[in-house]
Amino acid sequence: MNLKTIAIGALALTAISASIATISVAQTQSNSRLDVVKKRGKLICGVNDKLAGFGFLDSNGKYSGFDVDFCKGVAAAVFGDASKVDYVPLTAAARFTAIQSGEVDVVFRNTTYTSSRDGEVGVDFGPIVFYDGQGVMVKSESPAKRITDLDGATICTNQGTTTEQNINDYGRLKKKQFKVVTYSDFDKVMAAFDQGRCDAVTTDSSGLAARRATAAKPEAYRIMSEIISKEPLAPFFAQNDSRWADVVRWTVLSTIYAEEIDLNSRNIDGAKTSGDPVVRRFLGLEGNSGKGFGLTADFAVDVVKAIGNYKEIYDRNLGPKTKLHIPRTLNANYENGGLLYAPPFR
Amino acid sequence: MVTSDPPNNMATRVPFYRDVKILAVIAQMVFVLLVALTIWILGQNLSTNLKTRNLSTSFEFLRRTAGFQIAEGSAFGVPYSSEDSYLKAIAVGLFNTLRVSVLGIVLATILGVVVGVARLSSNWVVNRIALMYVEVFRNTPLLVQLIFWYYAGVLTLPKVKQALEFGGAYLSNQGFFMPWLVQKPDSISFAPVWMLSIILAVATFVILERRCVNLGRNDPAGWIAFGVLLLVLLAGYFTLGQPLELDLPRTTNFGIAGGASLSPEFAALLIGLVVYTASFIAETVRAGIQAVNKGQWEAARAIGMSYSQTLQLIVLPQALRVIIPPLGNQYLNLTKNSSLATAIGFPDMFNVLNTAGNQSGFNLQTMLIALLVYLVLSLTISSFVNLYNRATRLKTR
Repeated sequence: MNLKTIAIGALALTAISASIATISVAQTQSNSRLDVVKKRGKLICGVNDKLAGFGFLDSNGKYSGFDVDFCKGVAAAVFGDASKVDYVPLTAAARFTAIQSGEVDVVFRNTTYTSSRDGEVGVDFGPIVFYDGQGVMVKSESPAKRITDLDGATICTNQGTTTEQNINDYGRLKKKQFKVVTYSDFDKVMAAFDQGRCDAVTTDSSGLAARRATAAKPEAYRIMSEIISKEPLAPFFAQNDSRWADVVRWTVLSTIYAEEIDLNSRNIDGAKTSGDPVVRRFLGLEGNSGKGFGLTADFAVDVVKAIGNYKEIYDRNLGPKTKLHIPRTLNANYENGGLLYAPPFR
Repeated sequence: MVTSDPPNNMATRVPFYRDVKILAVIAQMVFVLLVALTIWILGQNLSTNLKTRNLSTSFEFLRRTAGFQIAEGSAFGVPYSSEDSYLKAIAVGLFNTLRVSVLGIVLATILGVVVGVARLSSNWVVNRIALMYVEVFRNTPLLVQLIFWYYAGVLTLPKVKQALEFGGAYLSNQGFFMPWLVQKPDSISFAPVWMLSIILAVATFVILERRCVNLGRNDPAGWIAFGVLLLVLLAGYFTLGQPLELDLPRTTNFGIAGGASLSPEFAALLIGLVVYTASFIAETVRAGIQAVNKGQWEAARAIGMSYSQTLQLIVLPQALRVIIPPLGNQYLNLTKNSSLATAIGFPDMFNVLNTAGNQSGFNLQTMLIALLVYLVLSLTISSFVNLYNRATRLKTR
């Protein structure tokens, strides 16, 4: 090795390590996701691709569902164009890492909001979009009437969810033994269930309803009436980025608020002539709330025009005209006995 | 040596910055320094990024309650329940990984050698079947094969209500259950007798084999060793006051309980890994046999050895030298491939670590543990293979 090669080698290595050092500095600078999304010109949204009604990739390669609509809503809020979304299908196990690594901007993927996920997983949650609870589904001919009848039975579920722990906690509480087998995704769970490997399957009851509705023979399955846990489903995004959090939060809230003040995708254009200050503020004709989020003053109009108010989104994907037909109960507006309540646009 | 100083003349001595020896040392020092710096920067980068995302790097969570069940396996004999710690849950996973890997390695070797030999058979049907087997299983993805064995294989067995019964054993798509000897409550532990009998049997076998080689005799060493095993077990059983009893499987409301059981997940994973790996081993064995000089075959024939004698005593021992290093690779592959278990619901270590990571949120830590354990497993296997390789290689004096 002569002096020249040594010198060149040393120089090259210094250059490499210097560039690594700059990369690390660049990464530590806090940069809101909102700027990243705007610069990119597209929203990257993590979704489920296998749960009918919530996030489903159909045979034409198009995504649809309740969660997918909210992705469109965020795109409409940021760009005024609901089509500017790239969807990334995520498994239950991969969804948090996708946010941690910055692969996706936001995840709408029937995810339960829990303290440990908020506190330790390094993500923050947006407002709850769906109030769910865990249920159990058996075959119609199963002798079990209640969950406690399943003592000694094999219950299957998918990996990386809160359901594993819930069913185990329930068993401990009721002093019953369940054998729990977990698979990497719910399609595999259903396949094993159909073949008789599992006596029952468990997941969020909305998920069970979706699975039952889309099965070849829905009447072959029976969903037990008991709900064994609270499963508030909410979007999540990277921790400590309040500007981006505001955008996601107020996109969701604007759909709930629109329902409260009777605005929907059809009448929102006509509402511009309204004299009601509440409506005028929501439409961005008075006040300037949208600007505070780094959005346009009338972002809520774009959202509601693109995806409708909460009722429209719900009815389109989960309502009585769909195969799922999940009653709104907890997911009704607070005035109708539900839990949906949006802070005012003011 | 290049740098020999000319005598009596210090002025012409090569200055240090042109001395090749010193420069080489300096270059190495600079290189090590730069590598260390790079690693340090990467480490700093990681820890700052973890801090800004508020992610912990501590392994303290391993002591927390796991809170999830594991369908089968124990922490190396100690039963596990959902109230145990994450650490114990991971131990159960490791135990399951080892179980399937060790059994898989043994079975894949046997099947691989048989198919490898069959590939060279002069019987057209046999060698075509062997060829077809190798080409089909070597050229399709293992994950697809596993899912096939599971959903189209073991799960198509009769449902548990119509389980096949034979001699107290049950076969259904919820698993295979058979009568098994278990320790009677409050009796003296039988485990030491097991160990003693195995040690004595192995010792008998080794001594007898050596004697056979030395004396040129052909005693049935295997059978004698087996006899010793049975004898010690029986003697132990009666001396300890019959501490074992038969546990029979029985049908319950849901499925079957009791006895020893083999889960469909374990069976599918084992079949998948064995069949896949054996197809590679078969090719290695075939190549190894073909690498042995044709003259060896002819010489064995000339002294009147049969085909199987030639294979066993002349060709395979020589082929072993060629076979062992690539065989070791296949063992490593099998062990690492066992992490695909999660697709078919078998709780191997990777599956348990995934669940643990998701439940607790410590994904980074669980991935580190997975990397580390697979690394240790692989290094252990390859060091065993190396030892064996050293023992069998051509000794030159």
